[in-house]
Amino acid sequence: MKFLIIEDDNSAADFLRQGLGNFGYEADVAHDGEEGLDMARKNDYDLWLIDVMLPKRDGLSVLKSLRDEGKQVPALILSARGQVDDRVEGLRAGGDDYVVKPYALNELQARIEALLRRAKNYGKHPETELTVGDLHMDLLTRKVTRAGQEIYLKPREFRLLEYFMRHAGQVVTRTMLLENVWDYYFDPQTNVVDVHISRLRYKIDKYFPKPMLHTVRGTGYVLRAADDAPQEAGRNGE
Amino acid sequence: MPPPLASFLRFFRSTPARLTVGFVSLFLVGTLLVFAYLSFQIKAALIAQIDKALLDQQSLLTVQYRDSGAAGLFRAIESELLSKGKRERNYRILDRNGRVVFEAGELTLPEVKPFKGVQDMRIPPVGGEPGGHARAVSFRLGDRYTVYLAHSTQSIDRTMQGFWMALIQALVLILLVGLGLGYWLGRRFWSQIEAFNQMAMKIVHSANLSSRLPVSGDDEFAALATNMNAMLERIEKLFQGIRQVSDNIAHDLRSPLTRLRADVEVALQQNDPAKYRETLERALEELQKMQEIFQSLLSLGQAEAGSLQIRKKPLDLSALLEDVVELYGPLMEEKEQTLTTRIPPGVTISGDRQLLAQVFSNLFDNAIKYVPAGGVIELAMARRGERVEIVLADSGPGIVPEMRSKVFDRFVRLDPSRTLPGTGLGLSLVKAFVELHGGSVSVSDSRLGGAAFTILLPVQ
Repeated sequence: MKFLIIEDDNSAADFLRQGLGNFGYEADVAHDGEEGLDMARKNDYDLWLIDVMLPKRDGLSVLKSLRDEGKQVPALILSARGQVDDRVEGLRAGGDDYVVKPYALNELQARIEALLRRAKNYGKHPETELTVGDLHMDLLTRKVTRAGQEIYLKPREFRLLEYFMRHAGQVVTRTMLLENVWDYYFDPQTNVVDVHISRLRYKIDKYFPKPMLHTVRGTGYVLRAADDAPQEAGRNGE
Repeated sequence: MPPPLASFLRFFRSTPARLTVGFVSLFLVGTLLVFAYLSFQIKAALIAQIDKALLDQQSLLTVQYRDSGAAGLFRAIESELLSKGKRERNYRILDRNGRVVFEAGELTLPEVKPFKGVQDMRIPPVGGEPGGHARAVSFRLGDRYTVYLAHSTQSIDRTMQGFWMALIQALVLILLVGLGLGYWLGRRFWSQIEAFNQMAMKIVHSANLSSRLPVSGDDEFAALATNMNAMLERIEKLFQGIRQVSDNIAHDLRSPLTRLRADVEVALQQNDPAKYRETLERALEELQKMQEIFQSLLSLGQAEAGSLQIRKKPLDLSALLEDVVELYGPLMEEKEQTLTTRIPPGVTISGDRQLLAQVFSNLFDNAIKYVPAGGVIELAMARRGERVEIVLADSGPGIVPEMRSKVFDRFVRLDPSRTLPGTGLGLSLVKAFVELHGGSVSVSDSRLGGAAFTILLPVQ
């Protein structure tokens, strides 16, 4: 896995490269728009991380040019501007996700993994069924079972679980859930998402010996097949 | 007050002084023009009178000569001069050879040829007598005599001289009175303006915005002073607001910064990796809190400065409220708060989904924070003409009346110890975002015993 970071602030770029290195990703750094465009054209990367405000050429125009040339590498936009409008503009330019600075590295990692997963599934037939361990979801009949037992979910719980199942094994942050399940681009002051998670957890984990939905402290949640041993994620029970 | 002379000199460079001088000069020039025209007309009328008298005399003498001959004529002239005085008139009669046969009167006429009509004639100075002007006629009597008859215009000149003297006296009087009055009025205006100036300088130098201008009478100066006082008051309020906000920012960012710094410093003094980790985790939490405050301040600043792009679209407000209720419902249940809603379906307005969702989310955050377990929260929506009214009422502690106008200000928190979570910016954002939609928000008592927030949004 090799990423391209287009970021003009040297220390921010170094910090980002080091952070990604800790998660096991290698990255090249371009320091302005022209250099970034050049490097993205010449090399094959698995992901582009693009800052919006860049010298010589801004990030969105770099991304637009690359997309116009038919390059389909997943792109994550990093920007200091966090209004919904800026986000829409970024996605319109060809970005796959948009992260507002300052970001938490955990948040960034979670989003990168979601993007890489999406890229891997790109072009596949849309799924009609999702399976994680003994948890099964039928997207057409909207039936959810665990170990053959039917679990009844409210519509929002269904969407929440669907998102977890599509990102099984990946850490999902509260912000990602608010954006993707509720379509809200702001953070409420209360831990409103946590309550929804604990209700979902109650439904899918309570009556089974091994839990699937785990809390990753300081970051978010992860859904794993019950047999998979949790790795570094500390559990934080209900 | 500056010393009198300096003050006086300064006054002379002032606008009222220049206005006074200008007006007085204008008045003088105008008066002069009027007088010049008048004197021209008067002089012309007086001369016409003399001319008429000369012509009358000519007819009289002609008749006398025809009736009683030269002797009768001379007598008639003598008696005329006796009755009207010699000083102003002169009669000279010449015979056919140009010799003077009769001369009476005290004007010294120059040698002239006969002329027609009434003419102006220069009287040369003779002896001590100064010369002058006269009106004169010449006519023939029969075929023997030529008569020159002259009437001095000296009396007219004297009259006109008197007239001009009176004028000059009047002008001097006008000038003095005008300048005096102008000085008095101008001084009054000037002292008012000086008072304003002094006040402005005082404020500039002392940065004390609590100074006010004195208001007296009800002229335009009083109005100006009143308005400037109103302006000063507004500036003072804004300034206090800014000071308040910066104090609050200082408090809200300084406290976590201080904690953060102390925490990190203490951790560095120890040599315990477990402590390091603990400290770093706490530091991250603090940073997150500061980031929230920062983001809210940014949104607020943008909303209030009008630089926030608002994407108004047809928006199902009923669905939006149901969504927010669905998001917060479980949290309220967890806190044993009862939520009742009255949301009529299909109420559509023009608005920005993200901003309005944040508005109701902030209101719910607030209610959940303050309503104790077992309490009630009630959300109701209703059409009110061209507006939609959304009321969120609760059975919490409520808001005391004197705080109601303040809760929407930045960093105002009802919990003075600031121990409950929150940035103190939630309701400010509510107000800013609602106002971006052309709506309004207010707070009152609710019949549930706590606070009731009422939001009015225009349908279009």
